[in-house]
Amino acid sequence: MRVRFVYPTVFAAVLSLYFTLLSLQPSPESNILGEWKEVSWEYEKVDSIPDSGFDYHLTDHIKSQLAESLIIHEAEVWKFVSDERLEMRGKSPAKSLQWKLKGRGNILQIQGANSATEHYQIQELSSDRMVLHFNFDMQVRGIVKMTFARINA
Amino acid sequence: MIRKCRNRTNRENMQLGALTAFSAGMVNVISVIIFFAFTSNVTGHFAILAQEVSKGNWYEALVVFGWIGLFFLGSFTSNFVVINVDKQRAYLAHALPVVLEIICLLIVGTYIQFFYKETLLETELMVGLMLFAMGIQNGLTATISNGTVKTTHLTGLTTDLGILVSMFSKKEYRQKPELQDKMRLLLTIMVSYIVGGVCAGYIYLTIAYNVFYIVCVFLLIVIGYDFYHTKVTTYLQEKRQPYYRKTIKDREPQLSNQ
Repeated sequence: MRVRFVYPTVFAAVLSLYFTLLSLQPSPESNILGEWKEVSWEYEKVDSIPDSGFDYHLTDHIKSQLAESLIIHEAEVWKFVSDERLEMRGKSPAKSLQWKLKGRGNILQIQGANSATEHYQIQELSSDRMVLHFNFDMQVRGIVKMTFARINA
Repeated sequence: MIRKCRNRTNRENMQLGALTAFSAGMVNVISVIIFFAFTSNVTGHFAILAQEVSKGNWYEALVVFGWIGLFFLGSFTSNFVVINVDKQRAYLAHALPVVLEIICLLIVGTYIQFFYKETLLETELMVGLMLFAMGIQNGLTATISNGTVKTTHLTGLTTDLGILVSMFSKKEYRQKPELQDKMRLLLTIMVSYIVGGVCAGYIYLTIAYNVFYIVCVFLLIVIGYDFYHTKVTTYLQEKRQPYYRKTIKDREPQLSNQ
């Protein structure tokens, strides 16, 4: 009799607490909304590091070569709109793409024209800073870290 | 295959392990492809939970906690059904969790095919449902095989395999039939899981979301096999017996000198 009472009570208490806490937290889908400006491109992981004086910042030349085949090519300002539209401005003409979050909100999926899709790992997402990682295998195998600063909410 | 008894044969365990591991491998790979989240094990989720808490990402931490909770709930549900359904209906008690698992996977497959808009909430719910299904499967296989078969994750299995391989370096262990049986069982589960994963990845390229229906077919084989052996075979045996044998069989044995 006691067990019949304890089990449902514990389940109900855990569920209530869980959903209350969850409802108080903003979802990554709302956190990402707004305008973000690209601050830096760095190597996060590389295959091998030269003995000394390795600069983790990517030069503009390597950056443009890496991004050449990417949807985000030459985009400097990313604007995430609530209807899953992603507007990009930069050196090249502005373009409108589609964004979606996957996993637990840690994967950013960007879909461009002709259904080309790219995935970026959201490493950090706060009110003023966003860090994205993506794998590449051009020239050097490794991970690129892209850092953004929020311009407008 | 899904009957719980003390004297389960290794063959029964291998059949159960092969089919359920194959299903789990498929589910896990397909969830990574579609949702970018693992659904057949929770070890990684515990690590992610700790990481998200340390970063102060409370929303993500709660989502992962919910996923772990659903895996737990799946295991709880399957064993709860097994121990609470009337012992006279042993087949039903063991088949019901598999039916529940099939229903969960059918819901996920159908939802993805017809309604999925790729929102984060949908993704989180689908992953949760798949983890619940895998929890059911893992709980059931562990319960009915007396803890011998666990098919949704390979951490323990790889550990056991490592131990066994090192034991086999000695002749006295190598010749023990029970250790040989265990080796066969572990290898069967491991290979089935990998093959399931590879098949899911390959099949997804051609038939996309229909992979879920294929997993359901494999699970139907699991419950269909036992239905055949426990119900149909018994029914046929009874039907084939002449009337007088059935009558004698039902009577209490009589001693001749009474």
